[in-house]
Amino acid sequence: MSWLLDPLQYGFMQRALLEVVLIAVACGPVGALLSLRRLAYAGDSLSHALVPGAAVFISFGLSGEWGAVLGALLAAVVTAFLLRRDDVREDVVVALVFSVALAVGVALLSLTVPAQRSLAVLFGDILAVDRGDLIGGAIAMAIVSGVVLVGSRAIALTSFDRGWARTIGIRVGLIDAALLLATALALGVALRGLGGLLALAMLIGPAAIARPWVRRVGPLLLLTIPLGLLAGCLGLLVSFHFGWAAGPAIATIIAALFLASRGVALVVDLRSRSASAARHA
Amino acid sequence: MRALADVSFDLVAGELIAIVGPNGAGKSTLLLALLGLLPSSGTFDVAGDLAFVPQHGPADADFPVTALDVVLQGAAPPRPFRRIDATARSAARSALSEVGLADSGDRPYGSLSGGQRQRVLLARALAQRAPILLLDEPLSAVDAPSEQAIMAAIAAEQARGVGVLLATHDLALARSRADRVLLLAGHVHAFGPPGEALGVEQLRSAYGGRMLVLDDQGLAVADDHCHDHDHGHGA
Repeated sequence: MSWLLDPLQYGFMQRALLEVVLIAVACGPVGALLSLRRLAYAGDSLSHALVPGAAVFISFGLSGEWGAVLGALLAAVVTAFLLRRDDVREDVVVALVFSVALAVGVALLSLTVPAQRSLAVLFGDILAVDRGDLIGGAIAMAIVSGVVLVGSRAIALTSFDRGWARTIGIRVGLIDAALLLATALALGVALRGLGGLLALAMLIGPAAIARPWVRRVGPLLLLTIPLGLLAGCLGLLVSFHFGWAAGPAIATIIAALFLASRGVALVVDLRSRSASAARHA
Repeated sequence: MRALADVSFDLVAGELIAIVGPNGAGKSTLLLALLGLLPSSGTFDVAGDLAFVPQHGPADADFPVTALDVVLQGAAPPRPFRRIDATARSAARSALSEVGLADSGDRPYGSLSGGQRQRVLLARALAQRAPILLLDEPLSAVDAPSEQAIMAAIAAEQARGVGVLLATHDLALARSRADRVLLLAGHVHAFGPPGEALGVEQLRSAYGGRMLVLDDQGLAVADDHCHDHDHGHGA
C-alpha cells in the first residue's frame, strides 16, 4: 500500500496526479471520437503542431501551452480546409502538416531555448507541473468536455454515415472543425505532461484499449477516462519507483495495456468461437 | 454540365412514384437534388421533411453502434442539448418492428446481413416520421426475406399517407408496385401510370439501343452494368 501512497507525500507528485486526471478526461473521449472518424492520424499531425506554437511563445517568454494550443488550432484549421478538398487525399494532408509542423517547431526550439527545455516540449515534464499549468489545463479540459457533451452524437453520426447526416441538416464541415478544435485543446492539456511527441498516446491509446470491450459509442467514450487514469497513475508510479522519465513511462504503460487488451480479446474470441463450433457439431 | 434538366412532377400523399431509367439517367441525382445535397435550380414545395434511405449504407462494419442506435439517429436526430427520451426509444423500436427486426435492436449493426442492414436504414428513415420517403435502389443486393419486409414496410407507410419516391433499375418492380412512373434519361421521357410510362416507345426513347423487345408482353433491357428482365403486362 505504501508503494501506492508514498509518492503522494510530495507536492510535485500530487500535481502530477492532478495533471493526469486533466489529461485523461480531456484526451480520452475526444480521442475516441477522432478514432471513430478515422482521423487518428490527424491527431498525430495536430500533436506535432503543438511544438512550433510552443516554441514561438516560449521564445517570447510566454506560456508554451497556450502557444502550443494556438499552433494545433492553426494546424486544425489547415487540416479541416484541406480535408474539404476532394483533390487532396487525407493521408497526404496529414503527413504534410505533420512533418512541416515538427520541422518548424524543432528548428525554432534549437534557435531559442536550451536543449533541456526543448526536450520538455517534445516529451513533456509532468513532474514539473505547477499551479498555473493546472488552472490552464482545467479551463481547456472544461471546454473540451463541453464540446464532447454537446456534440458527441452529431460527431459520431457524421463519422458513421456522413452522407445521411447531411440529409438531416447536420453541417458536417462544422462538425469536423469542432472535433479538430477540441482535439487541439485536448492536446494542449497533455503538452505539459507528455510533450508534443507523446501526447498522442493519451489521445488515441485509451480508445484503442477499450474498443474490443464495448459495442456502443457512449460506453466507449466513458471507458476511455478510467483507462487513461489507470495508465497515467501506473506511469507515475513506475517513474517514481524506478526512475523512468514520467511521460515515456505513461506512453509505455498505454502500449502494454493495449497489447494486453487485444491479446485477451483474441483469446476470448477464440474460446467463444470454439464453444459455438462445439454446440453446432 | 447538367446531369438532369427539365424535371417536373408532383407526388400525392400515399402515392408511390418509381423513378426508373438506365444507368447515369439521373435517378440518384434527382433524389440528392431534392435533398438539397446537389446544386440545382428550380422550385420544390413540400410540407415537412424528407426521409432518405441511401443505396449504400455505412461501410464501416466495425463502428460501435447497434441496430437500435442507428434507428435512433432518425427518431432523435442529434441536436445540441437534446437527449434521447423514452418517446424516441419507443418510436425507434416501433420502426424496427415495422421492418421485421423487432428482436435485433441490440445486435451490432456490423454483424447484420446486407439485407438486414438495409432494413435498419429503412427503419431509421421511417422513424423520422417524414411525409415523404425517398429510397435509392432499396432492393439492390438484398435477400428475398429482406425484400419482402422492405416492400411491406413501404406499403404500410403509403397506407399511412406517406408519399414514396423510389429510384430503381427494376422495371418489374416499378410496373407492379408504383402508382406512377417517372422515366428518366437526362430528362423526363415519360411520367404517368406504369402502363403508359413504361410503354415500348417510351422505354426505347429512354434506353436507346440497349433495349430488346422480346414479344408483345415482355421486354429485356440490357444496361451497362445490369440486366433487367421484365415480363410484365402492358408493354
